[in-house]
Amino acid sequence: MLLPMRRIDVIAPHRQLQSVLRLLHRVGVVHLVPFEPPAGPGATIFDAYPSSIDTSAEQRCLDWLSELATWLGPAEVRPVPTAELWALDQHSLNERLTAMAQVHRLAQELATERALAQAERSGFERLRELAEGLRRTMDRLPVPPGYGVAAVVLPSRVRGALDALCDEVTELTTGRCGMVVCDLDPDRAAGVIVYPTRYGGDLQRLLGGRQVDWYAVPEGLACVPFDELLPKLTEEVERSRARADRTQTGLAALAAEHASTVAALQLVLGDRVSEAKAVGEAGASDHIVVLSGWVPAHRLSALRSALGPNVAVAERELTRGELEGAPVALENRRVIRAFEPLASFVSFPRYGSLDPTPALALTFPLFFGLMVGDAAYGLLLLGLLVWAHRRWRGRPFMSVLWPVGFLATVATIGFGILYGEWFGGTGRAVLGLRPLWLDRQEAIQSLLLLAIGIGVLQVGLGLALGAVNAARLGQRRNLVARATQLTSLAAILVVLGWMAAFVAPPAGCAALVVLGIGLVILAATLGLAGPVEMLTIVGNVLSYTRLMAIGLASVMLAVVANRLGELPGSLLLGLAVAGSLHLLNIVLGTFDATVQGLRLHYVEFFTKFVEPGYVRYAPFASALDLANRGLGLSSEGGP
Amino acid sequence: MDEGIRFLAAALAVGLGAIGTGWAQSRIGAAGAGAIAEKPEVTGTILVLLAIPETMVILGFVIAAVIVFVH
Repeated sequence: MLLPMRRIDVIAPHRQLQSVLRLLHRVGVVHLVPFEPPAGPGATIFDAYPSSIDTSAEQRCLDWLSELATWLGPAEVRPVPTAELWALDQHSLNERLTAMAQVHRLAQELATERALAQAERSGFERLRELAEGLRRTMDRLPVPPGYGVAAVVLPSRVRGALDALCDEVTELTTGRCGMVVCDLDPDRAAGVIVYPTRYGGDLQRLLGGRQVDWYAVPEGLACVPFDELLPKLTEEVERSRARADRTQTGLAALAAEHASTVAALQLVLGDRVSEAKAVGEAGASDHIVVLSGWVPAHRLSALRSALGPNVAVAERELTRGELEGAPVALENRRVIRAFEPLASFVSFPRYGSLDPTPALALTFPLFFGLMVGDAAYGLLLLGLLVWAHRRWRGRPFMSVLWPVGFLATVATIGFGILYGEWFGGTGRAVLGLRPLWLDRQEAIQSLLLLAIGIGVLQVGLGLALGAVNAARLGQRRNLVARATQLTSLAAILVVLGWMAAFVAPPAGCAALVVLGIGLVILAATLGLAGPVEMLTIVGNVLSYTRLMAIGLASVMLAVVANRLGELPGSLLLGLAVAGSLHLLNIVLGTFDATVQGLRLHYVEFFTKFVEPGYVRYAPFASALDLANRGLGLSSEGGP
Repeated sequence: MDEGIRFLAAALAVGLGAIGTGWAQSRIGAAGAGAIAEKPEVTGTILVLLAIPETMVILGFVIAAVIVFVH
């Protein structure tokens, strides 16, 4: 259901602007919009609020806190510190921020130390990998004192470039160098250069100008014989890892103590910035300020009582055109609410139109069950869902996945029983199950007709809802078009029935006449696109045959899985083969049924009646309120 | 012979529809992936656009079913 909204003006004396904004923020039900003076002679006395509040200091603090939060890692937002900080005045809040300076400094030191240790470890690991690749080659390459070692790594396809590089290094060091080329792996070749250390800078400049990966052994390890280098590098890698771990432990300890406070400070400071910015939305006369917005009708009285007697809340009378700009808020019962993100995934319904969520909640699980339709698959999916529900209890995505998945899997089990399917035909062979309604392997034509029948019903319902929507929104042309399309669709069905000899010829002739008149009306209301759209509607109806096609593919794959499982002589091997294919079938079936079930709603059904919306209801709500809502707590003092 | 031609016709109806759908989806998918990379908020619209050509193979399937089952 779309909530009815009211356009309001909150009127208060000039000096109370800050406190009223704070109250509105705390109550969290008003969707603020820029103030526009009402039409009439009074309009001239209002103007934009004369001053704005500089938020640059708060923004800098937010950046500073954001940096600290990044070092500390993700933290749980606890409403207690948020509530405590939210109640503070600006001076006390600044004191709390100042107290964080020491934590910031410590976290910065630790984060820098961690980054250095990680970079060092990465460098040593690369060297170790190279040294392992070069082990055989380096055994042949003596490194005398006063000489350094560098390695160049290139893709094998340009291995020839190493010879040219060798010539250049020879020229640079006037022949006092050695180079050995070897293959590191099938894709990479390396050139190991032994050079007098006094040419190190020149060599670095020479190689730095080329697009090659080159590695220099660190100074401390330059004179280490190669056979000792690998263990030394391993030691260095472990040492760097231990250093990185130590700093990480320090950061974790710091995060355990301060991360939730930092997160709360970010939220509260963000609130202060929002309040300051909201001042720019206000209008003002010489004596009063006005804040405009939208509020759900059922919360208006609670808002009035929360603001108190000194603040007036005036409701505006709006025309139908002005109401079109109202923000849209959906409110449904608990189970149906889970389908709201799916229903509004493609487009959000316009204010005043119908909410498609209940229709989706009713038919999506049925479509899913109709397509997968196997009791064993349904039970397996239900088990997986229960496990996921326990594993990720309380996570936001579970509030959608659990109800939607539960209904879909229950429908799958139900249709599985109706089809008599348990891992395809296994139920019949082993458990003696029999189809209670349709045998999907045999009743292909019946299922095809059933799918088309569902298409007729849902597309017809969509057109009827489209007509209702058009009537509610006052769109006469659209109302005529939708009603005509619905009538023409019925006429087409009768004509088809006549062709199949199910309907008497007079009725068929009458339907043909109705269809002709309908096409003329459509051409008159929608132009040339009108009759063409009628063809699209027929295509939409036929599109529902995918319900049967995907179901048939699913059951046939299950049959193939069982047949292949019977082929090997070994029971275990047969179970493994059949189990793998059934698993694949479950994955494919779940994915296909979800995507195609949603697609049928988005493309074939919703396009007939969902009027795309413009603005989602986004109340001016404080972080405290949002933190409480996230934990399922009621907002203290809120309506 | 007639039976064979009927099955061939049914296979062509589904097969050609599937080729058309696959080709259209490849073009839409490639363009859609680029669009989503730049504007993630268009994911829903792209998903719908990607699903639209499937109607071709479904209609091919219906024709095939008519060829096979309706004498």
